[in-house]
Amino acid sequence: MKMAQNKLETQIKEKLNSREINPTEKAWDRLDAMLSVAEQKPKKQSFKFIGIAASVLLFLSIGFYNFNKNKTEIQTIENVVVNEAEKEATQENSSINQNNTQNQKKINKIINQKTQQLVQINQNQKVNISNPLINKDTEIEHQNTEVIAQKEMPKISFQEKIVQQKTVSVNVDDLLASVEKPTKKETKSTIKVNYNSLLSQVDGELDRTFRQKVIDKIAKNYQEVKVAIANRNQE
Amino acid sequence: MKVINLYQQENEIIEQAVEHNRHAQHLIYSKFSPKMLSVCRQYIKDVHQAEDVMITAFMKVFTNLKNFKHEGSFEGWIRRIMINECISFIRVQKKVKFIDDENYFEESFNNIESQFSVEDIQFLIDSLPDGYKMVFNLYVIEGYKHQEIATLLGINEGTSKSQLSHAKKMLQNNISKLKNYENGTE
Repeated sequence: MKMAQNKLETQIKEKLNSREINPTEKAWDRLDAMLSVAEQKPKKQSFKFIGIAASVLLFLSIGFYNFNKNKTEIQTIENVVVNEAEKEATQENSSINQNNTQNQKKINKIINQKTQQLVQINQNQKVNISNPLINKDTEIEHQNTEVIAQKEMPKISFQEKIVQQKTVSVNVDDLLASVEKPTKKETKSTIKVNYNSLLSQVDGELDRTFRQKVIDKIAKNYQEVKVAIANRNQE
Repeated sequence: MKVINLYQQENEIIEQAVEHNRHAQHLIYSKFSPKMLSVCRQYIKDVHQAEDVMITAFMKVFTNLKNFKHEGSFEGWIRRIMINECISFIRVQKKVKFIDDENYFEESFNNIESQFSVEDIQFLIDSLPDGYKMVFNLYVIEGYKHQEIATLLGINEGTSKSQLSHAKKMLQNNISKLKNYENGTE
């Protein structure tokens, strides 16, 4: 009996296991299509992942930007302060320049006075009738005096001595005529000299005051910003 | 040597198929699909439906191919996937409900020594209700134990046993009917 059971069961098992049913040709095409769809899905998922990563990065960067924005604002405030300080400094510079020009004007006046004195001195000298050559000489002398005057004003007395040593007889009118023109030159040239020297003298003072003022301003504004930030943080 | 070569070849093909090599996948498919369609046909009467189930099962084979540990035969692994797919198809499509029936008696085939054709055997199995059919196939043909069948189908072990005895009884009746039919025609 049992053998028969087993026989039938084994017969069923063997026959069914040895059976093969060939699927239709379309079956592989369908599987092929399903496989290619399934292979595309992971790519899409990867794209999704990239998208998610990109959006996260974007949000992070926006957050970072907003976070840093406060800092940049503070920086701009500081810059403004500096600029204001610079403006003030430039204003001071301009005022100093005005002073310089005023000083120069004063100096020019002094120079004119001195030249007048020179002329007077020349007039005082008893001068012979004018010679064109002498006139030229006088012009040269005047030019010399100009040059010397440009360099150092206090040494005009020395120039006077030089002029006196040379003792040239000059026509008063010619002298006046010759002197009038050079005086213009003198004013121009003296401006240059005085400008440079004054600048060189003033620069040091300027720098000091400018730095000190800027530092003071920055310190003040820094304190203000500090207080503002502290208040903001407290809020 | 030939066996070793074949085994190595199979492993190489599997590795290629894991890398979505369509040629390797087609090789695996063409090697196993006739047998696997036969397996699916045991559970599903309609050949086209059986083929559909086989295709979806092959999809699972290829998507889970990287999980194949090379323990046991590759064919056995594919076969288990096929059977699971057939069972889930039957349970979803046909909504098979197992009635808890612990009352059963060991049904045994009578003295049947006559030879049957595969078509006859399939006809006999097809005549069984889906619940009986599944348990009979799993127990007799696949060699599963009742405990395994119970967990696979989500039923009690006793239910599995009673289902098998009912299946055998029904088969016995059908075989005698078939024999009578054959005798009658003779």
